[in-house]
Amino acid sequence: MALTVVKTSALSGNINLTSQVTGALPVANGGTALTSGFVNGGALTEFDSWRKTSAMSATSSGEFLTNNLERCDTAGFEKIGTGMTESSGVFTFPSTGKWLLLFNASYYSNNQGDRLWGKSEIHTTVDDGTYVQASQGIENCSQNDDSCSCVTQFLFDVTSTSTHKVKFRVRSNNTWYVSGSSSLNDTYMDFMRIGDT
Amino acid sequence: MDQNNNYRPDNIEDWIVTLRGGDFILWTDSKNKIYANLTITDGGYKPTEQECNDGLKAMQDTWDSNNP
Repeated sequence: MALTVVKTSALSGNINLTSQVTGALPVANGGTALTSGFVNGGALTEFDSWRKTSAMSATSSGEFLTNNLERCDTAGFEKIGTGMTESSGVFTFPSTGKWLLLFNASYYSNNQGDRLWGKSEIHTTVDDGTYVQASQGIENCSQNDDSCSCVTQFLFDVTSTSTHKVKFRVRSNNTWYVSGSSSLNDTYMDFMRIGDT
Repeated sequence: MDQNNNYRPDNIEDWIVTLRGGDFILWTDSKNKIYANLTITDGGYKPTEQECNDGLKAMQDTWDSNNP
């Protein structure tokens, strides 16, 4: 037997796994028994998705996303947990933890010919001041009216919600169109808390 | 641009972003991207409504000729 009841006198109604049971929870059909790390509901506690609702132009020096950022409001979406807050392109986390960040930038060679490359970049700070580039994705469009998506992600250990923040930048070898939409996720960023710090 | 229409330019912002680099367009209502709701945030030149309409029309003409 994997579970042992340690307080039989207290058993009535719901069983408190913390105080009334010891051992490992067996897993059917193979797998590893769980002995710790139970999460209420067994699911993520925080997930949020934001997007750029307007177009902008990337440049060779890089341009941060600062305007027209909104939480996804497409029918069927609902954030999990408290969610992120945003001001002028700077995102603040609702809680500490290890956060998986994903940023997708959609480029379009708007009759601009060969743009060679476009990048999506995640920039983070751990002192609420000095930002460093944490990751990048790169793609290229090779002809007129061509499109591409650059995806990048980064696991950010947020030990303080007041000092650890993130913002997003697009960069290309020449002035280049980055698309946005208020109806679907086109250029967008996801925030997922996947563990404790 | 409408992705469902092969990215044919369909809004004045498609032309405005070609003026210069950066994230300088701010819509006061991003669900209603009309000139009256347009703000320029970088201190640069804000084109007139006529310039926006003419610029979009020129882009659409180019797109149509490239995609017969």
